Amino acid sequence: MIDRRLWGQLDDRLVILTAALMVIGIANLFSATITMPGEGISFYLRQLLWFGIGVLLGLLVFVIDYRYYEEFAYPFYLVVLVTVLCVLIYGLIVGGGQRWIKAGFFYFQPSELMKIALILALARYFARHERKEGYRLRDLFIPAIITMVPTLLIVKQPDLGTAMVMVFIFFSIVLFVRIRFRSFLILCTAIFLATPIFWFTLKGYQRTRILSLFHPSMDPLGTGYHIIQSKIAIGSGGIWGKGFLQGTQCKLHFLPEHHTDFIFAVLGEEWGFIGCGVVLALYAALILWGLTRGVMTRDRYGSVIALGVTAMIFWHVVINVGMVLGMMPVVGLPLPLLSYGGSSVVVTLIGIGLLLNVRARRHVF
Amino acid sequence: MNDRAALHFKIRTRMVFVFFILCFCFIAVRAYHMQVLERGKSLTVAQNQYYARRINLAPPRGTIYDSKARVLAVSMRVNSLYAQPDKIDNKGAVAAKLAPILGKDAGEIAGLLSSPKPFVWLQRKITPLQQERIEALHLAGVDFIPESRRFYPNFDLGSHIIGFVGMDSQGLEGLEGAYEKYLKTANNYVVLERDALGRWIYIPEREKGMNAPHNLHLTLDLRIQYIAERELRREVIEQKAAGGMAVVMEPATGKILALAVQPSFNPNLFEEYGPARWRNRAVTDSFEPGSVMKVFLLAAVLKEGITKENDVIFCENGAQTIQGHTIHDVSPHGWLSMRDIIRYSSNIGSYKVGKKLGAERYYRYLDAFGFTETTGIDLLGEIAGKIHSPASWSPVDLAIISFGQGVSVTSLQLITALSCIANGGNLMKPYLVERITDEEGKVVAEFSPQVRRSVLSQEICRRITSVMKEVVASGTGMRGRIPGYEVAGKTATAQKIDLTTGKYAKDKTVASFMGFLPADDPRVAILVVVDEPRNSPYGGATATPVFKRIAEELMRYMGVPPTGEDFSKKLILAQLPRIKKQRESRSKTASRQGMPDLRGLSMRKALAQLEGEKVQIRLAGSGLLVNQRPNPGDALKEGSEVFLRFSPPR
Repeated sequence: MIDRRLWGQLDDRLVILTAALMVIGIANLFSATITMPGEGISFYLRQLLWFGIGVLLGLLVFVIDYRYYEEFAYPFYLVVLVTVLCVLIYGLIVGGGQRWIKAGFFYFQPSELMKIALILALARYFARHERKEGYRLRDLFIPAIITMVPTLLIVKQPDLGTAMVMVFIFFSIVLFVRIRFRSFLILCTAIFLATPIFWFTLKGYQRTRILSLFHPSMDPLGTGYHIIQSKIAIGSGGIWGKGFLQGTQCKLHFLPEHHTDFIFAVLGEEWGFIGCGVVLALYAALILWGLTRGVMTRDRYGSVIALGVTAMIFWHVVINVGMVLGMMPVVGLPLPLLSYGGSSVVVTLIGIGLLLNVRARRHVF
Repeated sequence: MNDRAALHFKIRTRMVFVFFILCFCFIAVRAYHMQVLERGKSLTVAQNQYYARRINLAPPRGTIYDSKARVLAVSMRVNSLYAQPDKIDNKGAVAAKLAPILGKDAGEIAGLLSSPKPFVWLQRKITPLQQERIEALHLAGVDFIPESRRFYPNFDLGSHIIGFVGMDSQGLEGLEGAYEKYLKTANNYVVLERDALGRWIYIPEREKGMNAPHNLHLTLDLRIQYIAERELRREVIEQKAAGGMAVVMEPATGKILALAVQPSFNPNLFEEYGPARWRNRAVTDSFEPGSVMKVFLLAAVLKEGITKENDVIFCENGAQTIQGHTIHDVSPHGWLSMRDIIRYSSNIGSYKVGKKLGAERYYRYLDAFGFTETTGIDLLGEIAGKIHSPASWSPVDLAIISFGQGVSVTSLQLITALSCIANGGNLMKPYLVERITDEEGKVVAEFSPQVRRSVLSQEICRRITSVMKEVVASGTGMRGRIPGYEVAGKTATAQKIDLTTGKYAKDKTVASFMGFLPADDPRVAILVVVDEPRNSPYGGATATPVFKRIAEELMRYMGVPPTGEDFSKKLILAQLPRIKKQRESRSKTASRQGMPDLRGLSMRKALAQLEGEKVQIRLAGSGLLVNQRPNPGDALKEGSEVFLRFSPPR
């Protein structure tokens, strides 16, 4: 199964892109957390450990032919779904959200892994149920259920960001596998009409988060605080930035969560517009790789997986950076490979492993 | 069909592709807008936040000690009074209550209290008494933060060396500035919490990478500094002089034992004086030294073998014209030997030997004695004086430079060059800090004497010294004679350039004397400079007595034994009655037991042990007793001689 020729099929462009992001991520995290009192090991070292675990798991995912995963897609989906349910019942409450589960010696966020499980499950469904003329709404009923059950559980946690990404992954895949134009229009109308209803189901703080996006000064010390501080940090970076380790806004703890969800602000303050541009270009290259080389396989299952993973990374980047730049509500979503956090790093690297896996076996048919 | 599907697939991926690209472009444009177009706005906000939230506190600094571990500068914990205006309801009433205690205007305090800032200083570094009275008021929103205040317990003493610090404990002048790196600690600061504007958190941790402050141990001896400063001040006042300097150096090592500058200032209240007062003019200002430079001319001609001490030179009976300029001697001389040219300070004689020596060679010696460079002392702002290159010297220049006009040097350069002659020819690097220790007293850095270069042989130095001895014994420096000690020295009365006319002023002089003693084994070299004395313009009359008074007291303080029997008796007689009073209860059994073991005792204790013995005591050295004759236990005969040698403890 582990063929020596397989390593020749490892796509070096994607590997280099990923490695570049990881290096930037560690350097930036080092700077961001240098003044933070960590318990024991410092943040960047712990992140390095997660990178190690992530790379190992990613390689494991890569060496096993992805078509084996098709068999186990639904069982895997169910197992992760159960853990998400467990989190809701037994999980740890951190920062107001019940997202964490203790697995042995470390904490894990099953909702992160749920995204991979969802992608594999949707890929299997669409691979097995091909509609040459495009899917009608009724054909999308089962995939919608597959998506909505974990999404609702995650909203319940509440982890709005991850739930949003799940829905966006679903729509990205649906558009990709081809939906009938009429069905597409109906769907759009339905979403448009459902938005107000969705608004009223939101919790109070979630609503203020969205509102404060438009009026950050409404509550400068509360919800708007994150946005204001984040914009100040990024804005004060200028074109060239203040230089590595020279940022003041993040170091002096003006900006909470600057090592996790708001890591991009640290980058923006210290490396300026140039630094932001470079990192965004790296992400764009990674995503374009996924959309060109990744999905170009004759196997429909592999193609959907590649698109799903690419969409996952894309939405993470767009929502996170949009949030840090004050264009989207503060939803609490990590920036892949830059934010501190084990679950996010491991899941992202597993995703990269899947992409490499699909790419390496494109000629097998 | 298959083709169409492929086409559709291609179109769809392209569309997704374009959508994703657009998203990224949108983000990039937004970042550009924030970071490039609106940058100024964010920067201002960021800085305001930074300053509003971070309030610097004065941290403690290291202590400065003299060579005998007496404290020269120390940091004390004091409290500073601040207010959180938004916590104070009745601002007028609070201001009215605080005003009399702080000695400020109530309106001014009320103004501070109505500031929109979350934190304002009302008064930094208040006294404990003020604090007590304020605490008794039980005011809400008014509280204290501990800070550090620099205190100089000796006030004016040594202020030009020690320097002072600013409000935030930053070293500004003197050693406080020069050794900032060692003396300062991390800045302490208060950070205000953002979520509760009224609350503040104190961060007691030091900034990263900063150590605890280190302590300085100086070569300076506070007692010597006091003697030098007292005598100098006395003379400056008596002479109504513009100022003065006195520097005491240990010739063998280059250690500065005292450095006095008049007028001085009180570093505890340094703001009340101007920068002109703060300047340590012994290192930052140069002056035309005058005849003291003849000593270095002598050194050059002796070393070059141009003229010997007893060679005679015709001194033109007091006036010599060079290219239309006439130079004069104070009193006219005919034929003078080289040693008498120095003894009577003949300008014409100096000019003649200067001419024989030649500009190039003379300059080479001035250079060798360090007059063309800074001495490298560990103070800030040292200058090197001014000596033009010999190629540009006219015959008149050479003439006046031969007797020390037309060049300018600093006091420190002079005393260092003098020490070179005193110590047998080594030009030393003068220094003030001997040791730097950490909090626990562990030595962090230690400075030892540094020879810059060897300039003269011991033989030449001995010959120069013997000429300088005559200056004091029977020449212009006679007022510098000290009974019991041989003094080598040289006087100078330099004319000052009038800055308005650019010519030498008639009534303005710089009177100085430099010398060392005991001449054959010098313990100290002393330079005294009096700037613009009014009553008596001559160095021999003005600076020399200051030298004498300082030197005489130093010899006693340092325990240098006088030569000649009369003086050793006198010394003991002077000390015995004092000791008697203090040691009344002590049992005296020495004579019955013979010579006691005095080794390791101080001079005073050793003499107390011998109290009542009818013996002649001879003393040598200072510090603790290292050698005694007769040996312990030997018989002590009436009228016999007892020799005691002391040495400084290690």
